[in-house]
Amino acid sequence: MDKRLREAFDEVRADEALKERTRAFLAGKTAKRHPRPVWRLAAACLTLLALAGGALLWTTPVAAVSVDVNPSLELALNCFDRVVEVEGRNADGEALASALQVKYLRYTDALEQILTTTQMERYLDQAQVSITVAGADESKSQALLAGAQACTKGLGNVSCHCGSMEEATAARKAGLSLGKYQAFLELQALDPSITAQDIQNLTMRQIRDWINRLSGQQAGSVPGNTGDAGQSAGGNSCGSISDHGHQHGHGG
Amino acid sequence: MRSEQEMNQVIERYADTVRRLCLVHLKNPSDTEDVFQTVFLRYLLSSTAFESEAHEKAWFIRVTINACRDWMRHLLRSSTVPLEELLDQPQEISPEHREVLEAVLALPGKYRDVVYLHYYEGYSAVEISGILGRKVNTIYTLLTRARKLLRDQLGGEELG
Repeated sequence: MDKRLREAFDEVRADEALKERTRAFLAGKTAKRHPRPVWRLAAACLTLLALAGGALLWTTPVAAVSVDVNPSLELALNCFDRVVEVEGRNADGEALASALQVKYLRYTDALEQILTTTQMERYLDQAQVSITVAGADESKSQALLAGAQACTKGLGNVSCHCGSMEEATAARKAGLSLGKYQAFLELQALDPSITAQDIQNLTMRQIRDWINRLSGQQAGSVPGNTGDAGQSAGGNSCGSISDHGHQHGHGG
Repeated sequence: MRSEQEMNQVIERYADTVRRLCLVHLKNPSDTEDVFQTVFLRYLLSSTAFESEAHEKAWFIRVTINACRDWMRHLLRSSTVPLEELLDQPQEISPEHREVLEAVLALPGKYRDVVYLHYYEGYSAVEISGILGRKVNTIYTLLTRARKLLRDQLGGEELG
């Protein structure tokens, strides 16, 4: 009987037509579920990469602009010259940074806004405002400097300087803005015992006076004196770190 | 998802098994075709990694039986038809074998799987218990009762 059962079942088979219809049915299902064509996937990947790359370009700082009076501010710029970060380098600077709305503005617009704030306006007539720019290379630094000079033209007591990103990095490590760091290097060249902490809370005018006094030039004040004397003058070319050869000139 | 090559291989390997299980459970050829295709579609979409061909075959048997049961839960589809209609190849079944198949199909549903799996596929009661998820003793009982029913139906020959 078991043999009869086996033989009986053995005669039941899936015919070729059924198999073929099943293959066609499965092929239809596979086509519906088939992954998107490779080119569409590639396009999606490229779009994602472009977006990620764009976001990275947009958010990565590649240049810096520091604004120093007594408030010391540093603006980090992306490759489109837009402000991506604003940091105060001293207490006044932090207070000013928190009051500003300059993120993602062009740095020239940001500078205009900074220089016209109530906190800054009072310095423009009586103190020295130092704007220092640093780009990834000399030509970028020069371009940034030209922009800074153009937007500060006509403003009294504003001088624009040029630095490098290496200096900007070293300044950050020293807890100073780029402008103050450059002034600090000048001071230190005249008196190696001077430390970054010594100048951290001085105004640019005080630092400049100190430099003038040490370099034997006529100085109207000593540190702590906010007198009006002694600004150095010069061109606007970018300097290097090694010789601290930055030069500065009045924006107006 | 499985490749076209894999699908062609399993269709060649298991089409007859699936077809026979459909015969045991279903009542008409269109149901058979639907379940037949459903089983292979499940395989296509399955990511199960099989340890061996035996494991794969057991999977097909289990999935086919479950698919047939699911199908039969739809009462509207449960109208019965003669074996000639159920088999879309009636001319190929000899009268003697048709009698045997009709006897198996006349068994209550709970016996049909175990009869097919034991007498045709050659699975032991323990193996059938693993495939169907039932106790071994239950399988023994079902086999004994099915054997008796078939003997009564088909004549005095003892089943092995």
